[in-house]
Amino acid sequence: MQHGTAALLRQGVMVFVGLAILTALEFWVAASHSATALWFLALIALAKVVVIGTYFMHAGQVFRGEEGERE
Amino acid sequence: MTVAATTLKYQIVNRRLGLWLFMVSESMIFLALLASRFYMQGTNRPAEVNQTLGLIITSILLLSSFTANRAEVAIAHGDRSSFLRLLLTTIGLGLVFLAGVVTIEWPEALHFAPPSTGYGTAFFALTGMHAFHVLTGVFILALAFLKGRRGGYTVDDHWGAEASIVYWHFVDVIWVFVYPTLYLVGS
Repeated sequence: MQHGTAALLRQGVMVFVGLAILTALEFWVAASHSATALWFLALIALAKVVVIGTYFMHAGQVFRGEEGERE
Repeated sequence: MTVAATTLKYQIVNRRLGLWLFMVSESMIFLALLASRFYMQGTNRPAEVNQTLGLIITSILLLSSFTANRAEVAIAHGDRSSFLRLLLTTIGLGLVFLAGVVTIEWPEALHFAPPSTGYGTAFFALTGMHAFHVLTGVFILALAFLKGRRGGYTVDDHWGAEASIVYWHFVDVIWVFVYPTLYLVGS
């Protein structure tokens, strides 16, 4: 169980760092590429939603009863 | 698998599906508000929008999603004290986010984008509706905290905690779209 908790902690940290990088990236895109920023920002937002939905909201488990990777 | 375990499994499937349907229906409200921002203003944005503050409160909400995830992992492994500590941290970060929007962002925005203007309408409608969802999220997390403190969740059945945390992530997902729409798009 300790091993599983450590793996989930590592995954959580990786997801958090990834989201932080994407947030910094969208801030930089908006500051430096204002003409084409809209589409870049939309893509970055979609990437963030996919990451949060997959790893934090467990979207893949909606139709499954078991706890899956959460355990 | 026992009858009780099978029943619990199907209950969890139904509950998760119900929660996701609820979140999808809530998303429609925000979809309409996001669309109205572009319909009324195109990609125009007042130069006075405080992008730094937007980045700070976004980071706070992002951090709260991480602590919420840790709280869920903790209760799923029977670590009640960590669950309570992390849930309390999430609630605190949610309140800091709310304070940032209501006490700093709104008074600033009233000067350069009053609600009588197109951008002001979009800004206050979007941030106001989102702030209301943050408030309800904090309330639901507080209920989960109180139930957890009374020993209400087990490793096998902690649906209340799971649902409140998934809802909190949903609030974060909404902000993922609101933040660039109001603070970053346009010049």
